[in-house]
Amino acid sequence: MNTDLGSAPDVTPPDRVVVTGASGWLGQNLVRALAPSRAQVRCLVPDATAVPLLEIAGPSVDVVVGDVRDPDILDRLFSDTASATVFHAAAVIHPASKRTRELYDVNVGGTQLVLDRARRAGAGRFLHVSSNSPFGANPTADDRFTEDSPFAPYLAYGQSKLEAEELVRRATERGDVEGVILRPPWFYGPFQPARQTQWLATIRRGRFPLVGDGSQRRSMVFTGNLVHGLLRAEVAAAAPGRAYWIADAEPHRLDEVFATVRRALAAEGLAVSGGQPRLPRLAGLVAATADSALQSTGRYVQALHVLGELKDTIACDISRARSEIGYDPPTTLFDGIRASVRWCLERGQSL
Amino acid sequence: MTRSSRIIETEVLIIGSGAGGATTAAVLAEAGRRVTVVEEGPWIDPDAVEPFSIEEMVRKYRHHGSSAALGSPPIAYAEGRCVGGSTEVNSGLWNRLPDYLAEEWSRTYDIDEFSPTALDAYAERVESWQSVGKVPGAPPLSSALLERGAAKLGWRSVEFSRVFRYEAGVADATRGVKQTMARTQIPRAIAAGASLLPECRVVRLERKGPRIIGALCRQQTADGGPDEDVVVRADHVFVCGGAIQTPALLQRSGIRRRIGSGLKLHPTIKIAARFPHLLDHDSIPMHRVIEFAPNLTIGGSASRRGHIGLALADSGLDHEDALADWERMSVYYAAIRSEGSGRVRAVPGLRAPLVTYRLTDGDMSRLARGLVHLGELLLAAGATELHPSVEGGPVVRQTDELLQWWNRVDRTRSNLMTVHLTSSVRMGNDRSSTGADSFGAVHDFDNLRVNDASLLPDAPGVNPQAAVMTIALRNAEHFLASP
Amino acid sequence: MLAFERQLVAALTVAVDPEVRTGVERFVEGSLDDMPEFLRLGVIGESLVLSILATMARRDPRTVVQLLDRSPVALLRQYVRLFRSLVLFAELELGPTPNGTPGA
Repeated sequence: MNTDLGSAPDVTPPDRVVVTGASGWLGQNLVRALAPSRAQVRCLVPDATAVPLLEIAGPSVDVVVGDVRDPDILDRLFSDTASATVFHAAAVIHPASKRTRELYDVNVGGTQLVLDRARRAGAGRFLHVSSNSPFGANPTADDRFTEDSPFAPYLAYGQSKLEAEELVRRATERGDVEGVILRPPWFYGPFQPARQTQWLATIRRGRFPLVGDGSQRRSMVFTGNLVHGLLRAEVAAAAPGRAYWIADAEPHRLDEVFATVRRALAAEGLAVSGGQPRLPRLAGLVAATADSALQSTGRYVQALHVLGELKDTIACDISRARSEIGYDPPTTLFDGIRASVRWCLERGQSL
Repeated sequence: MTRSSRIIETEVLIIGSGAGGATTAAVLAEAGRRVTVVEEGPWIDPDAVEPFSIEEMVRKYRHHGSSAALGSPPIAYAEGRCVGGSTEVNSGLWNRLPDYLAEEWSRTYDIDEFSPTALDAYAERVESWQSVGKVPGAPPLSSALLERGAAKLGWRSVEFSRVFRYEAGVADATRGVKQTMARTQIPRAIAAGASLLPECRVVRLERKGPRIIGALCRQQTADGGPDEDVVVRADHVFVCGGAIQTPALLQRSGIRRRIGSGLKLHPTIKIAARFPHLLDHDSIPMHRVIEFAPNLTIGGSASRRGHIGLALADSGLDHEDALADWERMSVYYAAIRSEGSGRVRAVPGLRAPLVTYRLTDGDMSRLARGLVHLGELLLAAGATELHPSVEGGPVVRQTDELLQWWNRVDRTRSNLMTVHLTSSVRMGNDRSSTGADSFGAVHDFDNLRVNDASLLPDAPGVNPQAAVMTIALRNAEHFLASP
Repeated sequence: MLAFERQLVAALTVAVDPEVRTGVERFVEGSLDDMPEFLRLGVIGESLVLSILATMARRDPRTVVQLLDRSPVALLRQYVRLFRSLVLFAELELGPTPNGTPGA
């Protein structure tokens, strides 16, 4: 049924949109892509300092400052937004409180409140930004996640993103909203947070360790590709009620990713160290075990979590997005990392 | 102290006279079996005690109505302890087991003949025995407010049915009589020849291999004299003591495999809400907001002056002003289905089992969300002041103050309770996760069955009485049909 | 019921009517007696410790209540909340309403 709709004509995108998580990594890219062509881009950001950064994207940008868990703020966010597309990107990945409880409050609670307001405001499509985390890691390096792969949520973040997806699915089934679930893996691209800049810088200095033999595969997604995927999901006839993996064309071996980063840094004129320290896969296993133990007591240590995931293959197949919604990622890993490096240098961030 | 002792011979021994036990007794007695029901609690005339009063707490409840599952935070609960069990003290709300849960449980636990269609057939028969329906006339205001608030927010709400009987022509929602087990299935069982021994507590079951050969009981004597030892010898035994007492008794009798773990509750958080108008205080609201069901439901609680005082005291804040205005207040709740679970452990030498419950961070978050949604709803319904059951509150008067509650609902400050307890035995063919088979026969035993809320594989997200009675009827008929 | 617990109940009971005060004490006593043993043992333990500390510090039960209310230790706050809940419920159910009619 839906594959037939893959060839049906697109719907016209509404001239109003609502974006939650607008000041985040994805949000900044998305708002800049939307602002020129939409009459109103209503944004939710948690912090007032983000307001000028978004307003600069254009006169159609209208920012509300507040917490995505706040019923009153959401009333304001959605006031006068009938038939707007909702891009729900607000989420927590690494909780600032260092407690896993925050993951559920924002990722599940926030999603529930936004879905409820979207329904009441008579929103158009609801694009929900999910994650690979509800699926865990692939069993082998050659396995690829499809949209029908079984759920195997990885720790508290994975569990919270899974529950959020279930809320979106149920709201769609009940006819409350026209939901589409997008599952992007590891991001890279402009407006990256400090932790990503640090990653590039550490690779440049030859200090970022490769866990295991580097043959584990990782799917990544350039922010521009993800934005393209979201905009296709907004208009494709087949999309409502579906879920899609949105990633770069192919996953890469992790050692290849690091090598590509080094080449991109060099291509932007930076001196790059040839060093590549390695950690045995065991180190990743130990970190993952410690991460899991801490999370079961409600605590979160970012470094352990990141190290724990570096050992894994997390790779997906984007065929369904290609065939059903016309997703065709334009940017390669090399070009995307170059763009990230340029973005850092333009802002005076040292690598 | 010398004790006299006697032996009773019977065909079917039923332990517990609540929703499960009374249903089993009525069905088996009417089928011509010789049935003896032993009940730990006393027989109390259903008309003798005012519902939700202090006298009811003292006489009809176990532990004077207060016990708690230990944990972080602890969760208060209550069990009925009298002929008729918890049906004598509950709200009387009636809701069939949702179809998708029947399907999910049937699949996950491998339960035979557990389709929604099969269960509906039994549910219809149970409903024909007692008067099940919506209130006649207008619902009480405390209930209508839930519908009003929900309508304003565009949230789905329903009016639940109840097992109340009304005289012909009566259109007053408050003048119904709750059809409890003591009024319905127990008299039916006795009329069909069953014998009932109240104030008779089963201490232990005696087993020989895969058979239960007797039950050692202690019978309180009417004149206050020493307790009597009673040994009941039966061909078949049904344990129907509820999700706490059933596993405790089985454990005391050395039956432990998959017994007592997996306890499920409906963790509940409350708000005492103040309105600008007078409210009723004698019925429990029958409206429920199901917008976020099954994982989160919103409803109303007992709201006599004592309950309002307790709810206000939960915040630990000054509330003299609100308490003086109690007639304009009512208590409402948000209840969740939890990912976490608990354990019942019989402790040698102690009468009461140790009950513990672990809530996950996801559960705590769901409770916080429930409190925020409940707050939104009550403000939309016109409430002017919301007192949450969270230490330190704060009291909320407008929507923009609700955000604060997210961080206040934590493991050290939340005052939680539950009215429902289930799942401490579970039914199904999957032996790795159940203590009894598809029809309640305890695994590895020839003549021992469970037939109460402890069989439900998970908390149902609705009042469990309908599910318990439906399944009890199904299991009782299966027993009658077996060789 | 321990002597300390009796004093605590008396300190928490606001009602003036002696019949109500007796009824409240009886309800609390019955509840404590009827409690699951492990909970009762826990409460007795706390009561014993607190009664010794109160004597040593020469604090009367009313002051003890105030101190416990503000304690950073959740277990102690739960202890006073337990007694307060029992007393409050009994008072409200047994005592007259503000306009003088008995019961709720």
